[in-house]
Amino acid sequence: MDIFGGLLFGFKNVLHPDILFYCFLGVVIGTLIGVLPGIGPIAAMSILLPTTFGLSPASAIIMLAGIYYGAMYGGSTTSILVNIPGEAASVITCLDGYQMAKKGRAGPALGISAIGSFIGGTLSVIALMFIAIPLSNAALKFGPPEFFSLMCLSMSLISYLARGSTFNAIIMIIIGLILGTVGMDPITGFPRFYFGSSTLLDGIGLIPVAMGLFGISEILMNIELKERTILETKIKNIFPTLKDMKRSIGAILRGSVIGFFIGLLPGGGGVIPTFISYTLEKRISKNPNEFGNGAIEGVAGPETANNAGSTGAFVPMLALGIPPNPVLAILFGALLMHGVVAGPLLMQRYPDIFWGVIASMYVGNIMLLILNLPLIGLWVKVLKIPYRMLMPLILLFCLVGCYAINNNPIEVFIMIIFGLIGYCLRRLGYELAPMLIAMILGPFMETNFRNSLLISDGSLKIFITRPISAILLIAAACLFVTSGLSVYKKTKKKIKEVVISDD
Amino acid sequence: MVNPNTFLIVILVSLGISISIYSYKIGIGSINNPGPGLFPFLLGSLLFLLSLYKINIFFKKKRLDETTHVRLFFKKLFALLFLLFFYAIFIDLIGYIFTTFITFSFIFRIAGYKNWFKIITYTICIMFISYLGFTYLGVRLPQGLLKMVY
Amino acid sequence: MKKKIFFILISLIFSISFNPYYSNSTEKYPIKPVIVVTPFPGGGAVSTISVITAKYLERHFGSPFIVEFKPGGGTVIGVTYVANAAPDGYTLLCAADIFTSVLMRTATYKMEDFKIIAQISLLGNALSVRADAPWKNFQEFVEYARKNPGVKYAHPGVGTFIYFRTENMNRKAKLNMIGVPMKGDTDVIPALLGGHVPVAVGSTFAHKAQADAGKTRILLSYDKATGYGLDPNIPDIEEFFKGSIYDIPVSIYLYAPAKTPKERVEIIEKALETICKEREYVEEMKKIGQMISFVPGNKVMETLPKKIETVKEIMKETGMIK
Repeated sequence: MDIFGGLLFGFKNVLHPDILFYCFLGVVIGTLIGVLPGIGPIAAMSILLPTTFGLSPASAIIMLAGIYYGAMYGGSTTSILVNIPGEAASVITCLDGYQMAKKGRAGPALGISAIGSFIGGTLSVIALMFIAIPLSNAALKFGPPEFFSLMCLSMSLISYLARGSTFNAIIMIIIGLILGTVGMDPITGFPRFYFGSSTLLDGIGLIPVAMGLFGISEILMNIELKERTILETKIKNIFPTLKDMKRSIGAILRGSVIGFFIGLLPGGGGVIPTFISYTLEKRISKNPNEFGNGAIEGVAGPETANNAGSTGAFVPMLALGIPPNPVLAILFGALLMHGVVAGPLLMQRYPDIFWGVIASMYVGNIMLLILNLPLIGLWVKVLKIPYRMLMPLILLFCLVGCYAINNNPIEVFIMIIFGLIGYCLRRLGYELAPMLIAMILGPFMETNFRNSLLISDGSLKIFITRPISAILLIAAACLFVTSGLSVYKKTKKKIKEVVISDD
Repeated sequence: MVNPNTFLIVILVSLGISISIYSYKIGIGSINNPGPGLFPFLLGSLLFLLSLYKINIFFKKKRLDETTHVRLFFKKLFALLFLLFFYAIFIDLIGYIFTTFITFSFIFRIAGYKNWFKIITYTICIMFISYLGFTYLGVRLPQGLLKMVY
Repeated sequence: MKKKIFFILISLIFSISFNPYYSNSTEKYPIKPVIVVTPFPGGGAVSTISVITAKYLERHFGSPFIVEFKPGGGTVIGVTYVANAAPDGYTLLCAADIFTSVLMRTATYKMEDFKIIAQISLLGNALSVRADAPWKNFQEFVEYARKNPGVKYAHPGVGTFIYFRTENMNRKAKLNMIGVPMKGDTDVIPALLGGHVPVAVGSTFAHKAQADAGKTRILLSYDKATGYGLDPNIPDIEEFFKGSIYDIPVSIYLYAPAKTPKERVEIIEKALETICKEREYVEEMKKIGQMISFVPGNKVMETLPKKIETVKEIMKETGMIK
């Protein structure tokens, strides 16, 4: 079955009222789950899994898939409105999205995020259709050495996240990396820094930390405010202006590409595409100082990358039968329970499911756009609620949301502690985003480094003799050198100033 | 009050040292055959060195305008933190409804409401709505003391 | 006054005897939904087993059996939850062997906190190579591995049973392979397909999907090949090593908290025995890489100590515990 034939076949199957209903249900639930901090698509999908038994496999998958990318749409909402990442991948959106909200530009932020997600999602589905198979084979070339080098490249980008002192950012990165080592060592199984708590065996959870560092710390910072709303100025517009769109289109296109390609790597999706998009946009922007203060590209790029990434994650799933992240693993399991083995032969054996899912993604993206745009007016009104009412509500959502992930109060503890840590660090002039990203990337980097050495029998040459790895390392080295030089120059200047003032 | 900046640097330095020592103990292996401690050891040492460097800069800059004296802690902050920890500790013990009720009454107070009648009303409202809402979404909230009622 | 005390005493006695906690086994069981906890997130092998088994148990009893996913701590969180649950037969655990966390001292429960109701199935494991690999069968591979020590094999992680099982075989059969730990089958398969490692081990289910598509070749099925719908020419450990190696099968059990009344445990045990004979159940489980192998609780307890000893030995040899 050729591609267009397949697509038509898929659409024929999908454009039935009952399947459309399940698609709609999925994206609505997904959006809701995304908006609620803490509970993520994994929890929602696990809970709804039993209810999908009565459905046909296609309906079940379409609904569950809808929950997944619906959650990506919704996750940006709380990031922008109250600086709480609705789910892990939306952390980067907090950086500029929330600043835009404070300046009365929450509407454009939400709008561009919906539009960007739509474009990113749609472009990714198109890419998925055409190049899924060859691409997944190419992606297989990424082994431990390549991943390590990719992580090195990402590490060299992290310092771009910081607005202020790069030196402080580096300290934050190191702390983040150290936090990433908590838990069972992936190679030897040795439990590191876990203080006897079985919760910490899996490492410090990403979601409690993100919610604490961004959400709780924000509340702690605002607590001495008297009568106030989150808004610092009047609300300017509800929808993105033409100027906004013009500025963002580049970010959106780049975000789609970045999201899709990184999303399809094993372990794909999640925060990595969003953070790479953000740092890329900041690097090539004509006004990098706006970033961190409400630059719309800082929202458009990452949000697009987010959605494109989650669609890209379907590539290994549909082409190789390998779910690259825990969310898709649930989808995989759901298929299994319906007796469908989503292996490499999915397209041949179950074309109705394969093309049905792809067709449903187009439909789902459109539904989400139509659903989210009108809601923007509603969300913006939330910002007008007096803070004394809003603050307890936010806290309740955070506390319950965090608890609801695993019904584990220790995770709530972690969230609160990181809230306190985040508060102290922010007041003292340190930035949190580098720490969080480092915490996520650290374990990847270490595991792949050690695995690479295992494969090469201890030889470090493996990183350079393999072409992809070598290219990535050289790129990382260049970035390190250029940012290192600029830091050196800056510090020299600062020390000069100090010495001069000392005289 | 201790200057929070200095306090932080002291914490960083001690963290650096303790992490390095712990990592060394659990075995660092060699660069060609890393043990579980290698990575944390390098990180701990780096942290230690960087914090030392920071002390260096800091002393040089002391007369400049860096946020040297920042007041970090307020009564309200402590109260709120206490309530949050209270919530985490007791939610499993006495259950969602009671913990939420007690904690959020005080949170509303801290947030700025003075009228207790309003506070209690708001708390009860959000308590029920959230309980029903979350339970509908499939989240199992702990019963705690409610078990005795059954 | 005395009459009052008498009446109070009588009503107390009545209320205590009507209290469900003290009911005896003549009460019908199960009358309310039974929760089957599984310490994994939804979508994985054991989770799917739990869901399918719960479905059949529900059909058998005509009363709901609900699966709850409680992942975390490498299964410790979910297992501890059941260890501390009320021992009334309404909370059960569906999991593989849980003693590994105890041996590693990361468990917050003890083996004595549980009664093994029965073994339900054996989770199939397989060893595969790429389709273009030089070894056409396990014999060729074993010869090569013995002559060229240091062959790398990817496995789903150091805490997994398949890792212990493979290391057990690796050491006892002197294969001299070196394990490269990955995060689950989903990372192992790309590592194999991409040529980063020559050999991979993991669940039969994942490996069969790739083999059916012609991308890989399964050289060894740890348990009997035909039980998983594999080519009967593929040897299993028992057959290949002619019993010289004590293999550690990956068993899936249903557990109950230790103090659960014996009668209720037996009711579930009998039910499991029945459904394990149902053709439909066997086929459904086969599809997800499980070979039904019902073993009643007391028989399991007989073979368990040797299993624990063997795994303990491996853990010591690989340096996981001292």
